Amino acid sequence: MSSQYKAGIAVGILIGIGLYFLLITWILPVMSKWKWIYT
Amino acid sequence: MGEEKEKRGLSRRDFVKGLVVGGSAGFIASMGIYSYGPWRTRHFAKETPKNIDIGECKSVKILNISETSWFDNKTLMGDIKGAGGLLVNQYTYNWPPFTEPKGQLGKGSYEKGIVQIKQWLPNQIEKAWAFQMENAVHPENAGGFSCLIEVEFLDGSKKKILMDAGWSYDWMDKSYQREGIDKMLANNEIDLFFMSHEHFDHFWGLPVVIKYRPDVTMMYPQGFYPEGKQYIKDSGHRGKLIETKPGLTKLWPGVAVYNFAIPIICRVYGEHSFLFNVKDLGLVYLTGCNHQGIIQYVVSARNSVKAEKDKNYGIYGGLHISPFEDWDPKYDDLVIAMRKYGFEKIGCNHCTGIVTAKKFIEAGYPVVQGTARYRSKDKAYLGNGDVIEFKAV
Repeated sequence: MSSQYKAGIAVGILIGIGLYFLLITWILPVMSKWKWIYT
Repeated sequence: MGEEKEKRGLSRRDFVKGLVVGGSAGFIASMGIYSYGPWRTRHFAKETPKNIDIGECKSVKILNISETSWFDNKTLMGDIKGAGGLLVNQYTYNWPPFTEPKGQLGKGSYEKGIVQIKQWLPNQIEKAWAFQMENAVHPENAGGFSCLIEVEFLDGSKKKILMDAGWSYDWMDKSYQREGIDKMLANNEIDLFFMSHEHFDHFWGLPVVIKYRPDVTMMYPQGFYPEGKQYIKDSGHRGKLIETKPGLTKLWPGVAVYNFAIPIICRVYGEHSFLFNVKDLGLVYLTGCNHQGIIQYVVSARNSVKAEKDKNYGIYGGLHISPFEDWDPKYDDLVIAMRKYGFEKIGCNHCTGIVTAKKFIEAGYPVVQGTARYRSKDKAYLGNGDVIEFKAV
């Protein structure tokens, strides 16, 4: 396992956590207000 | 120069591969941590307990007149399945008392059934039942749920409530006579006749009650279907009718009714249950079939009323966990969840299921056991003719 691969995993984990955080705190609350989605 | 470039290309590819693996792992791990962490509840609606004061009563005593709504699960489930399943309108089954001549399963209706017996209601229910025995689908399987509630208030006065009317005219008439309910009705000792919901095994025995007291005050939940409302008229009821609205209704000191606007199997809508705030004990719950579910029942109550000692004390009734004596691992979650509510006295029967009662006992819950008389099948729960009382000593 190269050092670049390990660095990629470390950065990837941080990005993954960040994306999930964005999804929960921003994207889903915004989407939940889209009433047209229920029609 | 070219080798150096190739090396860098490989390193970048390694980094990107790591990024994808790490990103996916981080995202999935976040989902897991979030789902099992305390943050998951942040989207739930915040409910502030309203602490509505319903007052206090001294004690509640319940006589189980009949909890055996039907006598054979297999027969009942076979009929329901044969008629089209659990969502089919209960009035179409050709079950008693709404059968047409030589009624066929699932082909009936309220209108076709009631014309056969209307002339005998409420005073000649024996004739009406004899017609069912000849024509209905499995009339011998019908029983019924009904109980008598005696509330004692702090000033020493008492009120009696008859909850539900059962199903079979024959079974309910004999059960009422066995427990002296017929005389209580005739002597006007019953202050309120309370219909928990419209299900066949709680409601269709109505003419038996009406026979003994046509002008009894009757309370039922909003959501009765036109057939049910017509049946109240066709049974000969002449008393006051009170329809409860969704939410809390205060009745007497320490006594309230909570109406849950919920769809229920066999095309029924809405059920209401009692809340008693018993002095020095806590909140006592009393339900017919508890289709709202134990968690919704307790949480709604605790978020609404001020409870003595700020706690739950007891519960009685059908808790609707394994009514057909089946079991599913998800029911284990309910059994485990019950501990959280801290009940100190549990009187269950009917649609709770014997299996569930035994699971409660195994879990160490304070289940009041019965005597298994009058066709009740097991001592694991309160059977026909058994009594439970919630009173501070």
